[in-house]
Amino acid sequence: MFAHIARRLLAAVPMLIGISLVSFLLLHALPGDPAAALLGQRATEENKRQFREQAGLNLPLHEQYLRWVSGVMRGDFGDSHASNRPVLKELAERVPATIELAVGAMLFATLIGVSLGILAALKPRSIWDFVCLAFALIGVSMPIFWLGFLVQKLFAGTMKILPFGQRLNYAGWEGFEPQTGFFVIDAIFYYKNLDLTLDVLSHLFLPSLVLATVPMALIARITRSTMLEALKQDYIRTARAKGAKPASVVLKHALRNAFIPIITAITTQFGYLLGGAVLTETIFSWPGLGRYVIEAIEVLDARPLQAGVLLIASTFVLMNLLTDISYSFIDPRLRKREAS
Amino acid sequence: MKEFTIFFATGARDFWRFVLTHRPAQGGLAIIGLMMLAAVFANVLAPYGAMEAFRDQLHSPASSDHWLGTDSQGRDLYSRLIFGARYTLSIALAATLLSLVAGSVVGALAGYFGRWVDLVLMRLVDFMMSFPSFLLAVVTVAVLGKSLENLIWAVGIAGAPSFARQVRAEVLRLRSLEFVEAAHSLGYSHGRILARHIIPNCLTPIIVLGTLGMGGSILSVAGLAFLGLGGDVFVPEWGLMLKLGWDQSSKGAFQVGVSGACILVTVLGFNLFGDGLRDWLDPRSRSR
Amino acid sequence: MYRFASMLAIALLPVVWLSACGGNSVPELKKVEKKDVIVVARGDKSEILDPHATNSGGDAYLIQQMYDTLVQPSAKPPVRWEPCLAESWKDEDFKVFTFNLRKGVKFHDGADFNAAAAKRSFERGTNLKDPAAPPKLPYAEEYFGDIEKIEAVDDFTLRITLKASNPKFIASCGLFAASIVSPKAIAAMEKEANAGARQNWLTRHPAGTGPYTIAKEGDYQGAETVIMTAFDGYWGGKAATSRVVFNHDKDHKKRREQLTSGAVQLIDSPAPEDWDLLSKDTGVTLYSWEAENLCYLGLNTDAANGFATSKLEVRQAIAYAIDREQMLTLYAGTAKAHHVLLPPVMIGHPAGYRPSTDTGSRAERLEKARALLKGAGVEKLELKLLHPAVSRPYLGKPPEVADFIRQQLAEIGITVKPEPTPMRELGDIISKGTAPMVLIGWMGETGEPDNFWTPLLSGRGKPSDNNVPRFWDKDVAAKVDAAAVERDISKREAMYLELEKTVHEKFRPMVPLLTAKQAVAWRSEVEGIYVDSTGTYRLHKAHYKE
Repeated sequence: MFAHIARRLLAAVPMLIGISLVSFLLLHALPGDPAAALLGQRATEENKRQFREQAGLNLPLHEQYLRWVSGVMRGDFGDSHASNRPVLKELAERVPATIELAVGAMLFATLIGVSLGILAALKPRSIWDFVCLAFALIGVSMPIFWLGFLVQKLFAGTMKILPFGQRLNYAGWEGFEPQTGFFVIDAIFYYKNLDLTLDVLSHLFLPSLVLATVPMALIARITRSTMLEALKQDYIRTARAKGAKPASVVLKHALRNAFIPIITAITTQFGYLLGGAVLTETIFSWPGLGRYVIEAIEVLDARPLQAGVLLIASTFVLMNLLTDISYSFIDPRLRKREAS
Repeated sequence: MKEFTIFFATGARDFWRFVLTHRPAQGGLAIIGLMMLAAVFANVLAPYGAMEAFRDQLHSPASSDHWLGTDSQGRDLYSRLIFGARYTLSIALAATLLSLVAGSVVGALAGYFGRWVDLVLMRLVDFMMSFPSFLLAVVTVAVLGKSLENLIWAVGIAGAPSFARQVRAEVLRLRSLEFVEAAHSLGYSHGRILARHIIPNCLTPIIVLGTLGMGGSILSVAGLAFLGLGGDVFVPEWGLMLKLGWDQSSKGAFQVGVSGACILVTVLGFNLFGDGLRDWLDPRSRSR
Repeated sequence: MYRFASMLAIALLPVVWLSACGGNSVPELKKVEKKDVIVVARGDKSEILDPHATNSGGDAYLIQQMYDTLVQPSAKPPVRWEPCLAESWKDEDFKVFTFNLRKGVKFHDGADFNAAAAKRSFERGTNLKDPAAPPKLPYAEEYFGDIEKIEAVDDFTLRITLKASNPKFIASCGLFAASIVSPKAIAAMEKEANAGARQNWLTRHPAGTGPYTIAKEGDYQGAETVIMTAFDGYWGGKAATSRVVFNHDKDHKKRREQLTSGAVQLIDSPAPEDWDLLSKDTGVTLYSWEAENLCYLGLNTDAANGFATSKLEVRQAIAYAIDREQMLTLYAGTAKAHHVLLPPVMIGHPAGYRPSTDTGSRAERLEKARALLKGAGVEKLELKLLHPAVSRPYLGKPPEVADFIRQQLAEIGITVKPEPTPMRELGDIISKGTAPMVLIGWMGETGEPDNFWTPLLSGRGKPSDNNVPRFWDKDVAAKVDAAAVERDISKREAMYLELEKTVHEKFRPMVPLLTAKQAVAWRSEVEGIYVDSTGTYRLHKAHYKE
């Protein structure tokens, strides 16, 4: 098993190097002068000339790359010219926002998706089955920016039961200071305040629900088909014949065997969420990583763009790696295969 | 042994028989057909031109002159939606074809030649897949510059890896089959074997993937356009129309609503039809 | 499955533990009553809350809630300069300025305001070599570059001597960039070796004399949200509402919906098509004003670049072909057609004058335009039109206006290719003159006509970086410089009229299109909000009606 893990880890290294190379090259690939992309529009020619020397833009590319990478290793992503702040500091605000959103979406997707899938599989051709299939189809066909527009208009604009955008009603609280950057965790474990928690959750609700649409649909579909498969197996019939309770048959036996495909779907969808977050964050004014990348592109701000792409892509790779590794824990068959 | 029939003759007839029994595929086909009609005959079907502006009727509500009202520059929304089918479908088609051709070539070469060719090409594919495809498209447009042509390149490139993987798997399977080995022993050239024996037999899965890919391409193109990466915002592409309505504040909600609905329905059509195709290909799923 | 769950629990444990033990004393968290807070939703964001270090409008609005200047703009337009931290002032030949300062003023950090404090603040804000200076002083060169010396004559008298006579100097002293910063804060910044740290210092510890301040570091939540608290020791009397929260939301649609649903109390720059809706809403007060701005089409005159626009006939033809009245429909009645450089609210605006290209019926003008093009031997012309990718105060929907110009120029056979361009790139392109046509605009800050003439159609010895047409005429430049220092208002107005005539009839480097009104909107249950003559909303008197 450990050999397996080691092999996967090793395979991820060239990936990460490749990603860092691409992120680095973005600086030079963006339209316009790299010095301008780092300094902003007000920079004069003289400023740019000085800056090129100081920042090493005259060095050969590989040396520039090494400089950049060693900076990144130390947590130095450079400064954003739009805000004049260190990118690291901005990432510290943005990354928890995106993770919170993605985790919220994943919870929705998993809970609703898996239960819908199970319901459908238990009663094929019933109304539940139809709902599940229709939902799965519409979900993957949904332009989520459109859905976001509609639900926001309905729940926040017309019905006024949920707030617009943002992560918290800052105006309603005196003394709130983010601790971990994950507002839900801050509210529950740090401030231990129920009202604050509800406030944070009400802001998180719509964006994560909209972001959950596509993964929810895919998870429902996969759960349905794997559960159908599993329920047909001999051992389930045996368990049923032996008089095991239906609920225990489903949960203990069938679901357990349908676990791997479902987990795969969930983890690979997590990567999708990071991409989809770009759109969701734009609609809901959610101050996350996806919007950070888009804003950087709008003003051609090289450092934030590099950092954003690097982070999203490497998280994606690491998520896939974790999935791979977790198989060997979950599925004993895989472990044996490695041993033999 | 369906895989070995020549795709275009018997396969098509067989498929048609299947469609007659498969409700979702019928629905999908109907939607796609309708949109295709709108796209091809837009000039005839649309009462006005897509860029024809009635300056004295900005933001007018639905009326007998303008069935869905007009937009911020007084252009007929209904006509623009119909022309939109033409633009949206052709842009998505171009992007899908790009991924299909690029992905298939890479996948076929990797699968057929194996060894280092496979290793190098598939590492490249793996690498591209290490970026979430939407982010890959966003970054590609940022580098190439904002325009519809670049959007096609971006979505096409970002979609290619999944084709490459599928085609490679298919080619690997075919390569070891008897008839290909027979062709080898007859001394046929690699090119001939690929073109005559391998590619035709990969066509079916490629077409299924392409159909499903159309839906994805429409969504990606619309998403990128919505983010303001589509260049000229007056092209009547549905994503750009949605964006235009979005920027109109209180007056644009209806435009956002209808353009989004068009996107949803069309993508739904491609997905329904694609699912039908998949069921047909995979009898295991059909029996369910 | 159980194993997986337990793994998950183990993985999450450190997070929970860390956050639970984060600090020994959890800061007190209080729910704020609605009547104690005013929420503002803004389209701009704020990132550097240091008056000397920024030139972004988004920063300026917040800085003006926290800092005071020696003189302040009048509440009603046109802009006049009124006492603020200086109770009175006098000048000798616009060269030596003596300010009598207000007594009993305190900074947020407890320091006292006096002549020494004002002197120190000016030094820090105008000289990059100052040990407390931030890495950039965007306004220093243009507005304060001519300061020769700054002296504290006595405790409450400040004297500033310039190198040469400059009638605009009082206006410069009213800019947010001339805000007075506490000497205590400046001393603390001197200890920071890193220029970037000096730039961010004031964002974390505001130290002005204004009605509001940021009470603690956590109240500055990045660019997204800034929470301000009333300053107890404000010299004008403590602000009526104790908290103001500034949220950032780029989406004007969402800002409007937040206002109408009552979630926020004030929004800035509502979309023009929403003004009507907002003014009909009984719960909302829409305040709009004619601002010092101008939207225009810059035509590259520099023959060295080889664009067809370097021919006068082509530029004149373009001017003939543009019909402003139709363009105004895009602004839903919130803009006025404009034919000259200076906006109507400014001194020197030539009210009765209209260039000859802008008169006559549409058909006649198109005829003349075609004839001019033919005469110049230009057929089948294709021109790029660059415009800002994002909306500007004078240009609410850049692509739509650009599309409009495309349609109109098509009528005289010019094919226009609009290209949305990020502001960063656009600035670069303008200063190099590498585009034939740019749709852009300009905003004044001080009511001073020279702030339009010099940057847009002249420069200091060469076309300035903001001179879109790259227009340079020695005679015009000399007249612009002469008009800037003329004291007699009527003489000055005559000089500007003469300049407008020369430029538009003889050179046509630009086609002025329109001036756009600006607006903010607030909940009617809040009283006391006002917008001063430079367009800054002031909140220290704002409070909910009983």
